[in-house]
Amino acid sequence: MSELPPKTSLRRWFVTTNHKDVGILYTITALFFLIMGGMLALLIRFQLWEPGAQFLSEIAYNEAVTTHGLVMVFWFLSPFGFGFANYFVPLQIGADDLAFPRLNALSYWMYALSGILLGISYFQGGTLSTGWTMYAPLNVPMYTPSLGSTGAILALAMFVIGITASTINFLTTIHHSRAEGMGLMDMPLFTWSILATVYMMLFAFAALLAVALILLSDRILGSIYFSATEGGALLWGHLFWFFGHPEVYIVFFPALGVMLELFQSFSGNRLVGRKWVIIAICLISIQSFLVWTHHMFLTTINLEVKTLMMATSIGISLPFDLVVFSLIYTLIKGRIKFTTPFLFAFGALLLFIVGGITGVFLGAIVLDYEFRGTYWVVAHFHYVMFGGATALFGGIYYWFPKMSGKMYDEFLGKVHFVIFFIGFNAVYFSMFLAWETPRRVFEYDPAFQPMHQFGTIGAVVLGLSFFIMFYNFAKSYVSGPDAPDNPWEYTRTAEWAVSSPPPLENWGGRPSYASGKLEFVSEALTPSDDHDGPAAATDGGHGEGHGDDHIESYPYWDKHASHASIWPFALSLATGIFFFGLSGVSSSIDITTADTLFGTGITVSNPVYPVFTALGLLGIIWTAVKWGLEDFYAPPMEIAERWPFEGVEKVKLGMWFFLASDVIVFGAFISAAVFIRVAAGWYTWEPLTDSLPGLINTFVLLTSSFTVILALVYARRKSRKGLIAYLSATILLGLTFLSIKMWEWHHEIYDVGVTLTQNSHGDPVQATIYYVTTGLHGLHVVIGLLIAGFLLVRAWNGAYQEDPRPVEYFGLYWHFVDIVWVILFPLFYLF
Amino acid sequence: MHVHSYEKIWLALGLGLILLLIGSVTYGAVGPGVSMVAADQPTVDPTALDEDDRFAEPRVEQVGENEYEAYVVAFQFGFEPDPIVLPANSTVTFMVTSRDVTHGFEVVGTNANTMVIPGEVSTLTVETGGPTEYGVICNEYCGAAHHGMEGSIEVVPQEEFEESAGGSSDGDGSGGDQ
Repeated sequence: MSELPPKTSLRRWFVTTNHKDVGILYTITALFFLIMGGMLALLIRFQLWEPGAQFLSEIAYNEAVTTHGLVMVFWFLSPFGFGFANYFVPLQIGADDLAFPRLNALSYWMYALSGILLGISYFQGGTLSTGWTMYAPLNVPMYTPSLGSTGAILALAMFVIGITASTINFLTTIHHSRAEGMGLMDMPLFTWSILATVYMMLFAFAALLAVALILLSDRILGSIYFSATEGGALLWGHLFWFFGHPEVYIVFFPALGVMLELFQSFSGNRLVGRKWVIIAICLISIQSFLVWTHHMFLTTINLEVKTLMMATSIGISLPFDLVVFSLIYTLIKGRIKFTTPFLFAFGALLLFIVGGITGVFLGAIVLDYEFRGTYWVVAHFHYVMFGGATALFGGIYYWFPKMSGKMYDEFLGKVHFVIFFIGFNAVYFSMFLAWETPRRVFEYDPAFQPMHQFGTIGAVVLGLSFFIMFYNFAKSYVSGPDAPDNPWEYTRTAEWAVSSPPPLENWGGRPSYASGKLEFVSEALTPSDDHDGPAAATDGGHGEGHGDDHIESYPYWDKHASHASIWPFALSLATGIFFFGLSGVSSSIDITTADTLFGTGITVSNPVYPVFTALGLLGIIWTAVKWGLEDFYAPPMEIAERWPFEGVEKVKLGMWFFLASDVIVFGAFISAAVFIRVAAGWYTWEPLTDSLPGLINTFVLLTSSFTVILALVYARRKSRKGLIAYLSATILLGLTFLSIKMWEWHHEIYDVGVTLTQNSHGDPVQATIYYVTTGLHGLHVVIGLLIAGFLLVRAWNGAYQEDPRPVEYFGLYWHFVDIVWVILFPLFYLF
Repeated sequence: MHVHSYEKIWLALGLGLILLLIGSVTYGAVGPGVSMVAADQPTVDPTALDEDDRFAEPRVEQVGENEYEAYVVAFQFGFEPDPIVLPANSTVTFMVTSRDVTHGFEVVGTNANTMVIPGEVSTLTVETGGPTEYGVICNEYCGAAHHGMEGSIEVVPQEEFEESAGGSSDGDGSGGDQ
């Protein structure tokens, strides 16, 4: 199914895996969520028309604020930036597509369908009403019992799964598919900002995934992490903000990248201090993980720790200063053309400066006591985040000609900017003027009423200004003049060197920067050429390390690239159905416990949710198998810059990035266990279980690591029997591990009396941590066994003789699962 | 392997920073013994506030010459005691905790502002000025009626406080009984 239907066919948009199509889908969907989040924002503003207005009920107001935050941060800002990233990062680095096109489509569909789940949550007895920070223990079912609250968190978890796939995809693409001669430092700045963003996302979103999984375990299975009296509430704060602060830069950096790009294009000048800007971006990315406690200055955290975090927080403004000054100097030294995209980018800089400076105040502990909980904070982060998004609107004007092939109306664009800018400052600057208004309630000093009414009018103006943009784009798309390849006089990046819109395969010849500027080399792209073609070009042009040896290792190297697959959509749909079912499954099933396993009674009061859950799960397995069997070919670039991962093959690199994010997921689970144990008193806990079953399991798993290596060895020797034998051995060892685990759990529950919420030895939360953490590991084992079973069936049919690499990828995952156990074993069985 | 010199610097800086961070965290924990939760802000079992000397009966107590401690419990949806009656021109240490979810405790118009986390006791010390009244609000979402959650502080002249302090000495008495 690799033929792609035409763009006019609806079917195309469900099966496309092409990065440009997916980019357009992201952009349009993100704009839809902008409207949704904007509507919620207007509801909030109408409520603030007078102090204590009852336009919305109290709970409805809380829900509106919560979903406004979630929608804008997760479903609008990041995906809007990643629409551009999808479309332009491959073009800017000279790649044909992202490294894993089907995975990219999967990310999009996970994102889009998770947004629908969030919408549905409103109709499941009311959605989450905790604020977007979802502080514990308000987030547990005891205080927010509605199914919609669970549904909203499931939607977030599904979004994060998609995001993680996207992160891995971008990291692999940027590290694996840069055109010849494009070193990391040569990359366009938009791509640079995306690279920094995805590195932050790899670690930050893994922490969010972990915290969402723990919360879902609390909400669906009934574990007691965040209601634990041993620091459960503080644990949420740490885990959430460890993600939450990098998230600010994650949503801002794509906008910053657009700003850097546009300042160059419309000042006709290379960015001043380019390498220092890149260094600053890297520093910010690292430092962003070291400032999270400034969101927790009002908690009981030690003053020493707070002071350290104050220093790092205020320190992070220094690299930002460097970037801002670089932007200003770029303008001073250039000849500015005041086009619509530039106006938005310039406006974004002004707004970001206001947002940044007002944020430095909040970074100081003592001032934070004063400002915390007021509209100062609200105004500050809107200036930063929405101010940043202003540059993204510049980006959409800048790239609209390239994406649509039509020019927009310049006059309407400028009108949009003026009204947007006025509306923006009216609504958010009025918040600074009325900063003593408490946030999170709709009561305030009547003296501020004129200011808030002014702000509400500004919000309406701001909202309406977008209809000018929608009208402009719609009219231009239908009847606008055709856009030339490069409508801007001075652009540096490769997307302007191809037609508007670019052809499906992006390039007419292989893009190369080997000579110092962009050239298209023709011979290497012709697949019918013999191997000397690319090799000769490499010998003539560039030094070493372009991996022409890779060509032989791809048995299908002369196949055409595939662009269509329905399975990303199907898998996402199945996941959505599964998650929808999960949201209500715990309230529709009653489990009565007894003294033995067989005495356990299950009553289903409402079959709808359990049925959805089961259907979704079956759907996931079925679509995943179909995905694995599909003949889909994404050609690796034969000649590319890959520093610093020259020797690593594409899928393996992706696997490593995935494992890095999984390390953080387990890291968060283990940190949670340690944090709660420290809060409870480390030495007051004894291991819940005998160490013997755990010890046996350790040996079983370690042995299975050897068998999986032997499976690979035999696959390389093209021995079908050996491969089947050792894969089977691995599966048997995995099943042995699970059996011992199940016996152990059974023993704990029915003989010792340790269940998810009860612990006859001591703290109940210790039992929760034991079951949930080893359960997550067990889930990894189960998924590993499913994959191994898939490999075994295919090996039986003769697969992996020519290309044993899938066995190797599985082996990496399996080793990782084993290594995690080596850490969990002492944590739960020895100490 | 061809590596651009800037890329080498980038790598060295990145690695250096990571090592510095891990080093500083390890040093902080092992060397000076910095712990994440301040030792002088003790924890409390939020499900058993009834058994705690301070929070079983939230009150204001004199602990020294012109020094007072105010034990406050935040709950869905209010503060106890309400109003919190304080003597003028004295030093008051608030010890605030929650019996259910995370709340906020902000004395409106001042920088006396803290989060109130179940299981943690938030401590903050203020100087009361002349007699006046303050509102207290909750800054964190805490449930359906969060909007209406408020308390109040009445700063009264010293002599008036002592007259009404009968209640707090009762509190002392019951504390002694336990």
